[in-house]
Amino acid sequence: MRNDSSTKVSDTSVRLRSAFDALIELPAPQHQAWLDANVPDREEQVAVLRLLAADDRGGFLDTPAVQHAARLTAEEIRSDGLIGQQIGSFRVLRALGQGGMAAVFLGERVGADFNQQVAIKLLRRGLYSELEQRLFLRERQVLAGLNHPNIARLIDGGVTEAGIPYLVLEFVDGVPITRYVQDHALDLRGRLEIFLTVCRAVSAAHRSLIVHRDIKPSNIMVSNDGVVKLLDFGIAKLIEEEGAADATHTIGVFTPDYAAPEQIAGQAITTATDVYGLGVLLHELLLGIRPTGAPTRRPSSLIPTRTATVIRGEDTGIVYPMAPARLRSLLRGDLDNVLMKALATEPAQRYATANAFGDDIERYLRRQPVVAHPPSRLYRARKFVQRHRGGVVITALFLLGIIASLGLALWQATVAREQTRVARSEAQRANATRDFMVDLFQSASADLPRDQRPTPQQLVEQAAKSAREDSDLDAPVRAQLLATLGGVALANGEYAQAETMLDDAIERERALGIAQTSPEWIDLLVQKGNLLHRTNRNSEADRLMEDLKPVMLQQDSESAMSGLMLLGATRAYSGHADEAVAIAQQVARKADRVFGTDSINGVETQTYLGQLCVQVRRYRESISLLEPAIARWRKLKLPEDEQFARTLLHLANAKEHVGERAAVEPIYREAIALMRRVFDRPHDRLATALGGLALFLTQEERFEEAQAALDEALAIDRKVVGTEDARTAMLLDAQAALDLARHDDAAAERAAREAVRVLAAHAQEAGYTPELAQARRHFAEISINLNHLDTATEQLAQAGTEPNQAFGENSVEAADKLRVDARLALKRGDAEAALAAAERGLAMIASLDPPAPRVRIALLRQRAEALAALGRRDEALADAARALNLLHDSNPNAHAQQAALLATRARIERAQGNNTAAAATVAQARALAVPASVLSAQDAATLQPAGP
Amino acid sequence: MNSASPDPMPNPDTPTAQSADAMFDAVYARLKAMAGHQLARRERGTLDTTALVHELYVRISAQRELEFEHPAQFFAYAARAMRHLLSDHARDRLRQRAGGDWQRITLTGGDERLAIDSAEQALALNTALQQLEHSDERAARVVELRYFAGLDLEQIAGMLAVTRRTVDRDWRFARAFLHDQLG
Repeated sequence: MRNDSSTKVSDTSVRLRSAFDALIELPAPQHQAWLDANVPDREEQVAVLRLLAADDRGGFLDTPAVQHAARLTAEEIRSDGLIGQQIGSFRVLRALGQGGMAAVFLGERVGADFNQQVAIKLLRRGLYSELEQRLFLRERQVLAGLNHPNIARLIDGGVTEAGIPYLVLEFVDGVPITRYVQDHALDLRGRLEIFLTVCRAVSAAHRSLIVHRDIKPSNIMVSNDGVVKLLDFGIAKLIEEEGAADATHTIGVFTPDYAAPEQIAGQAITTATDVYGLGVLLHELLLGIRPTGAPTRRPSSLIPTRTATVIRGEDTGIVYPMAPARLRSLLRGDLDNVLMKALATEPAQRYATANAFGDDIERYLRRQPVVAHPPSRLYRARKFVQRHRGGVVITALFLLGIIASLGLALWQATVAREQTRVARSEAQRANATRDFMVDLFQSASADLPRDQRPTPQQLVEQAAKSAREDSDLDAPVRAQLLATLGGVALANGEYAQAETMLDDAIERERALGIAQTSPEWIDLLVQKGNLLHRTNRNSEADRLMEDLKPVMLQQDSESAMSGLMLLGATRAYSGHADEAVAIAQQVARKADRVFGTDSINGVETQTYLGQLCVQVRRYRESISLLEPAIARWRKLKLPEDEQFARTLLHLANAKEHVGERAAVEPIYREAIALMRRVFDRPHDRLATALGGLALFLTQEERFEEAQAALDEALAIDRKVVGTEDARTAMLLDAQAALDLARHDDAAAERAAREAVRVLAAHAQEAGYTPELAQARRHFAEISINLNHLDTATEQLAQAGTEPNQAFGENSVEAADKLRVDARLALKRGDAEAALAAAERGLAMIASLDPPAPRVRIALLRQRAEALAALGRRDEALADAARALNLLHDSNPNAHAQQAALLATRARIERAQGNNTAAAATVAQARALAVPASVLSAQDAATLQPAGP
Repeated sequence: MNSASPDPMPNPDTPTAQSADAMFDAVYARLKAMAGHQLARRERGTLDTTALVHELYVRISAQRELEFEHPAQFFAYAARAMRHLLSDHARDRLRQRAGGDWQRITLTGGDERLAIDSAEQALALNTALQQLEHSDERAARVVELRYFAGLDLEQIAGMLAVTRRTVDRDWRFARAFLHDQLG
């Protein structure tokens, strides 16, 4: 139906188009005649005429798109409607000014005894999402903590009911700094001294890890009594178009004349960006103009020579602090160098901090030699390389710069952390340190051609080298750097590299006598624990986290909680399911309390708990945790990262187990697509995800797709973790399951043998006992198919009781083992023993939830075969019927399994002598059109078309 | 915002390192930031689609953030991104209006009516363009490249590898079709 109508629609539109094309070539008076001759349908005639009418008149498309866009955003905040109104606890008095992003009003506190005047800033754009609002409020809190006599205080702020964000700031009654120095005719020393005050204020903000981003004269006011006040600290970040979430995409708010090169290029913003802004300010304070021309030109050369001085000076309204000629000679040398250093194009070439800038000014005022010096040979070499991009040398030089700025940034962040150790926002600050580094890494790769970019591994390696050797760093910073770098390597999946660095950091911290309760120490050990857990050393990780448990329980920090979550995982892998879940639940409650249910940490913790429940096979519980967590994750617009992808994977797995098969594949696909985006190169977690999908597809009997997923997964893991790793072995076990399902016994045997060999080497230490037992069951079953009965016996004996330890006496695993036991017994001709094993398996599985239909079906078939062998054919047929019904309900796509069950039934019917029924059964099976190649030889023979 | 689910787009024939979705998202984010910044500074005199898209092209190719097979591919993404941008602005604007009385009083300028009309029409255009995509895919592409990316018809002809005459007719039909839909 739907197809028909859409075909009709498109036919109509083709006719409309050709009629239109023909008619625009004809004069208007001939239109009707042409239409009557060529378009029989009245409605279509009308439609064509409407098109022609629209062709003649103007419309939306005749106005450029950007003009429309401008209209949409060009609203002014009208002041008259607002005067006298109340915002927060302030009344609006009068308009002070309009900016691109905000309108500013003078206001006063309502109902206060004293007269407090404030500046109220209304932002133009709304914060539409909950996340944007939360980020705004959090950032506002950080700014409110900024207390400095030379920084205008953030007094209040929030979001009105209408969703308009506003900020209330200390009102400064004064003039811009550039006006002030002119009005008061300050001399060179006076100007440098006032600039020094600005440097110190900016530096105070930097110690709180707040970057101004928009330093310019109009943001630096001097009151009538000569007090300098910096306005709008960090405000630029708050009102940026892209939201405050992403500090690295910063083509946001800044003033082009004062913007640093990296701001214009949209690269990472650091404290060096403010140093640049300060450089522009100093330039303007000293020379009366902003820097122009090539950044390598000496600023003093901008001062006109004597003859032109007076005229040009007056024309441009520039008032120099002294006679231009004298100023020229004073600037030449040290101040030139200072300005050039501050205004360097590359952030790493500038003063690293506003404080360092200020120190150099102070040195100059004390007539000491300044640190800034003319561009070094290295600097010039880099300039040269930049101009002649290409060649290998660039990576090395570039790295030097990165590592220099990395060290400084971290040093700075560490200082800030020391000073705010007691502050409540410790966790945020710690994040800032990490973000700082990540920013630097990102900027490292931004402007190099792809093939010349240093790999993350190289960057980390170089950074670690410099952390160990750089003589400017002190011991605690070295340790801290190595710890952080170890974390980066771990996140990159570079496990060997991570381990070296983490161990080094642990040793250094120990030697320094770090407190065993300090967050840094816990963080470090948790990283190490994660590393151990991920590299198949679960018991070691488990011991490490157990030792740390008492300390972690005492703390509310992120690392303590993530450590406890890790402990949950290591306990689960060691077979202590209940304890694992109990710990994880405890952490989840704590995270809710400390971070809030809707916080990133809160939601993440919830997903960890859900994942853990999958690990210990509490599938229904895990779904009830994961589904709301995923919904919240999406609603809060949290970044859909690797953690999110893993959460999806676990959900897919849980849904598979509770029988919601229709929901499974899309979730796998989403998770895999996300991982492909998240990882920029092969990663073992992508392989694990593909393996999960392959198992699902195997059960759906989409063998070729399953094989494609497995091929990719195996290629990744062989490359990333190697052939001797448990992860690779688990994929081989999946391969064995796939080959078993399509009866390629030879291939299955190769895969299973290898899987068992590798898993056996890891099982105990890494906590893969259940996986090993499963691989052994597969191997045993293949061996039965191949008539290697002794091997099968041996494997089944070893597959023994391990899963029972982890999952109790009654588990799917134990029932499945009984099924293979039954097959083996029957193959050996002991039908009684086979029946007994199948009976026990079925009894065991009857009580399980979720019900595991796949194993149940296989057990029913096994019992049917045993009963048939004992001549109890009616009971056998009943079992076969049950199995068929169950299969139909649980996995209707599994046609090969269905055919195999029908083959069993046909054999029993033949044994009964009921050839009519058998023929009907065979016909039913043949109607499924399952290729004989995916059936066992016996079943394929049974289902041969009836002979003549 | 709604850039997560772009419509099917003119895919390059050869797969590149980045997925089409990721490329589009990156172009869109860049463009949004640039346009927002320029509009905020009220440089209406210097801002036009062509300049914006070309500046984007220069930036992206200079920084090699994204690798496009050929310029045509870039312009296809940029045009699509501009189109989304306009729709998003329009939605923002309408949402703002729905924001409440207080906001209506204080956030309205003289051109409020014009702004709302523009917003509603921009959304209607988007819908109409979707319709056109169903019936006449190429004509819709021409609209995107001309109206949203600011290319001239000659360039578009080269890009779509058709004759100038074909592009002229496509544009004329598409313009009439869309104006008819917009009423």
